[in-house]
Amino acid sequence: MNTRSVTAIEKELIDEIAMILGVEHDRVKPEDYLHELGVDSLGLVEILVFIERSYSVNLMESGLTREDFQTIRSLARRIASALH
Amino acid sequence: MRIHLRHVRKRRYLRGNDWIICALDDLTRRTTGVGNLSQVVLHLAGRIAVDDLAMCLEECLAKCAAVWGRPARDWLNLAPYWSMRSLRSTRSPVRLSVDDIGAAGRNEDAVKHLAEAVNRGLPEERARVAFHLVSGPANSSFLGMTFDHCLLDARGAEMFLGVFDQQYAGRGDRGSDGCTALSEPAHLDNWVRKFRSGKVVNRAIRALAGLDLATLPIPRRPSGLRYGFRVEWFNETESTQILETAYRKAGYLMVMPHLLAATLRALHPVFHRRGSAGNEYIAVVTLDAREPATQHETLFFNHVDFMFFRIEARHVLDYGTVVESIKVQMYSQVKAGQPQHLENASLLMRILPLSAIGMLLRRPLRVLLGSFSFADVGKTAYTQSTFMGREVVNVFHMPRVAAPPGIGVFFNRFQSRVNVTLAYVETMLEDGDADRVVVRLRESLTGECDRVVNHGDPV
Repeated sequence: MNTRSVTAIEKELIDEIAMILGVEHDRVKPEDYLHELGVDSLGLVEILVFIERSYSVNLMESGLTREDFQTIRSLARRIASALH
Repeated sequence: MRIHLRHVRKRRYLRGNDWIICALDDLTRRTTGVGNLSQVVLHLAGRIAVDDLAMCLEECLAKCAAVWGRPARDWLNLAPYWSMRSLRSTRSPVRLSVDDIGAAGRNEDAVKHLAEAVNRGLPEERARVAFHLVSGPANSSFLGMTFDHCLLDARGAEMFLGVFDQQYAGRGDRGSDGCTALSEPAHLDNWVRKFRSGKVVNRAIRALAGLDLATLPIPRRPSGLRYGFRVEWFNETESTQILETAYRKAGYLMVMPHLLAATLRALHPVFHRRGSAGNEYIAVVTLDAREPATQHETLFFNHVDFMFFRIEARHVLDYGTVVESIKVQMYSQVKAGQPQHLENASLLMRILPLSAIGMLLRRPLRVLLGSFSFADVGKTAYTQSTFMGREVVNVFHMPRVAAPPGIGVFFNRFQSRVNVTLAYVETMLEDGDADRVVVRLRESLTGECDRVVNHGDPV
């Protein structure tokens, strides 16, 4: 079973989002809101594709709420719960 | 490794997407008489002295070798490049035209004058930018910069205006640094990767080839075709409502799918009324591909990705179905790496002359031109609050879209406000059609259409 801690997933998401946005990863924090970081619709889809490739979790089909997505931490928690 | 040019270099190799844009320029010129030009407009509080503006433009452009360039081909390796002459070479003056419509003039009247300017085209072969100043409405000014899409894309044009302001503010050295065109390799390697991408793109095109594409006919006119424009500026309250509607109905951050679904809904009655054959729409969507943190290093040329969204005409008025389809298609294309494949494959197209690509686009690859063009530039890349000391009230665009398809819708955001421009080959739409499109667009964007029953349209 693919289990990861929320912290580990947060770090991986931060690295990916920093790469998508072209910024240093220490400028991206787990409590940051994705829209405040400048993520747009294409950026969000790139994040979702990364999540599917990395964790075999397809969040597009899982009926996510806005609260699930809003911060990197909430997204990491959602992924972690899908893995357990 | 990217190298900042401190001295004038003679060539900057064109990437695949640059060459596609040059092909669209050639195609549009053959169809309408003028190339694939666009116009970025600054709406300013207060008036600008024309002499000051002319001097500022001349000083700044004197340092920008890229502006005086043109496409050329390396006869050794056949790769196309942007040929930049030495700045000491003779160059033609840049056009600055002026209109004054008086303080009682309306913003819409200013837009008409700006439309005249972009429809005039660029004065001669070498000048890749031209300017038009409209003074008047409520003592404000509109400064339009017409630009050749081969040289600049929309975000690049916005950033380029920022360079002028830096020049005016006396930060001349920074202004000249902002004008250097970074070097670009010829990309004559990794052929296996390019051909693999070519196969992927070829498969995708073949999947679209049999489509019954909905299009609007482009009239033929020996004297050339002008473009009409409708520009809609949403205030802060309306803009907030648009974004909230997007988040609520399309999903968190799903602004582009919402804008595209609203656009389809607005355009569909026109396509239906004009008797356009075709059961499927293809929206060709241009997306900015710059990384936000390094965008100022990519001022010149085209840094865009293309995505293609296919929607059946019978679903267009069903917002939920359309948005879901757009999101699924976006996910599939990103997962398949399609924008990157298209960019790699387009490097192979550079061997072809522009006229040959145009022929391919007119016939076997017609689907790639789509039913209409669409772009959401997002937050403006013009980051200064003033231009030549005047407060910037708004920044918007007026593009002469590629023809075919000859019609397009373009969004951008300035501060917290949304702007949208409908651009179309004149006579493709009647005035009443264009007005109705804008009304429907406004209703769809803000969610008001949920409460509207009909407009007397046949669908």
